Amino acid sequence: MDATLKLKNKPNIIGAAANFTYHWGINSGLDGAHATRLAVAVSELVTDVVLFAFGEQEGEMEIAFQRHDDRVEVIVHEYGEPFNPDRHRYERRRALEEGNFTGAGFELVQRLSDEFIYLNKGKQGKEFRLVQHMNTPHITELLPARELSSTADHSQGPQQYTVKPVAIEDAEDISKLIYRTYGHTYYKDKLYFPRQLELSIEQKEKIGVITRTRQGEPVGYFAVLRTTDSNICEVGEAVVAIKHRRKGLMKMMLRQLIEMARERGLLAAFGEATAAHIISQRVNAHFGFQTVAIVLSISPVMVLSGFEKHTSSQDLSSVFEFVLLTDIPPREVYLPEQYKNILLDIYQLLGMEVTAMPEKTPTLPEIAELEVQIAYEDKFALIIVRQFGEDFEDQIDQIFNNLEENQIRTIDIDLPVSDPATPMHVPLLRQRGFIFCGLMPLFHQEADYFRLQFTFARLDFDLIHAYSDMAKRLKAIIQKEYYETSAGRKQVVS
Amino acid sequence: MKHRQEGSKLFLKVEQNLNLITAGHIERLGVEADEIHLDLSEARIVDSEGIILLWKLLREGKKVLLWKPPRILHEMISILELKEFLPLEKMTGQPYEEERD
Repeated sequence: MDATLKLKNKPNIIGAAANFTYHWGINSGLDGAHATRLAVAVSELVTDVVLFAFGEQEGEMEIAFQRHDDRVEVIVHEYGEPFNPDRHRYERRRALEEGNFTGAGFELVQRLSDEFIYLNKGKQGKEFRLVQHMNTPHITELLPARELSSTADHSQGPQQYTVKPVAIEDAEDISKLIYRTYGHTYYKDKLYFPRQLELSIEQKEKIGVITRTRQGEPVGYFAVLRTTDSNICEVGEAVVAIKHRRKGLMKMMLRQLIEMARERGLLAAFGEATAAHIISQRVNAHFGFQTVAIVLSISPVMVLSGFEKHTSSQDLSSVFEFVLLTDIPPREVYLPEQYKNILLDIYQLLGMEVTAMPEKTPTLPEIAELEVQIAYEDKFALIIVRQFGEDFEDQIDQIFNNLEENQIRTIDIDLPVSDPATPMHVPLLRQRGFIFCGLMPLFHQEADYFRLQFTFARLDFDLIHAYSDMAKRLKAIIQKEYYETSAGRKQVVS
Repeated sequence: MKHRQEGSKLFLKVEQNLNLITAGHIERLGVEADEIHLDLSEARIVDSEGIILLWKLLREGKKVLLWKPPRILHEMISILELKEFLPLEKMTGQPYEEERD
């Protein structure tokens, strides 16, 4: 999180919260109009909490602010009285005739936000999530078509390229390169917006390299991103201009990137290779990445220019692959019995020393702590178990229902393997249709997590391609469990 | 918030946000007024409490005139389908002026 405000339910904090939101929005890259919308939405929510959430009692709320590459997100979290938004709908007639504006604030919150989700977490309170997308100019609005046309054809050997760490002033060249190479089809839309790229580089959210020809023309770009709450990085955002492919540029850039990540003290790098084909998985394998999980239906279908023949006709699934950048001290883990062998094999492939501890039944606190992360455009949500509690089942059901109501297609859940309570919770998640996904080493706060997944998407496993032996093993288990559970599941087609 | 009273006319300038607190303040100040001039040229954030305030003042039969309401207010009135009741373009007043000695 960029910032978290803890506020009492007092009227005098409404203006302060709204003003902070506005200025944070502006500093995060929103324009004035969008920052104002976000601030008004926060003002509405905070007012509702002040007036209604706690009755006459004193209470507290938390407002978390998070900037992502392509959007800003504000989460208002409070522990007040239960609230059912369906019972507080705005009605124009009632407002005009009776002066009863019930639901007006909530209506505005939803309509002024690009994305809005309400999550009832039972005893863990309620969350109102607001998102505004960045609206900086697209590269095609900044440069004339002539400048965006294809690169010149220089037939050069690898010795004539230079690979350098990216700087803020490279942002426009990177957008240009992405546009020249993929047209409008590159799946990370934010790379078309130089200002957003500048902000990401400036705020050190990514470590990247850019390759130029001797004439200074940008022909390759590759970056690792800080995308999790852990000291690891994601290998993503890769492009090589079509006329400069098959010259080893991708490997040159990845080698330098991994070295830079290691120098900055990052513990591991992971990649989300598409399962629509094996090309990216093969490149990752070449650099010592090991497959740890297959995440089904992680994003909608997309067509990459130059990769048309590998395009999938269904939601995209990803093969997660890890490489350690440093030695990790031995650790004790609690693994669910039915997945113990494959999880231990993944640890072994990664070179991580672990001791599988015998199962036990720990005493649980009253309230579970579950964090929800949502990739709104991908309709994908991840629930992270920070702590198990007696109300775990209730919270999961409530969150699951809220996410389903908001058309989230895939819901994954990360369970900490350092917690002895993890194995005993797996059966109840399996009963709800969650299936195996894999191991997420060092994924949250430098701890390892076991991942289960649930998807409403109808998938053809013949279109999910696995390259490594481990990927093939994971796919076999996931496929079996997917079909075992699909009969009783409401499904949507891509 | 700046304000001054001239007979039954109340002149106000909202210098921050128009929200629960400022709306309550304006409502109290306007009890005796027949005509309220609200300068919103410096109000960046207006929430639904501002709209409720306008509804109350108009329902009480007061004349309400606005100076430079922020764009977001137009947007909110449109979302809540209140354009006919709150035709901002027909409610244009004058900027707030400090009292002259």
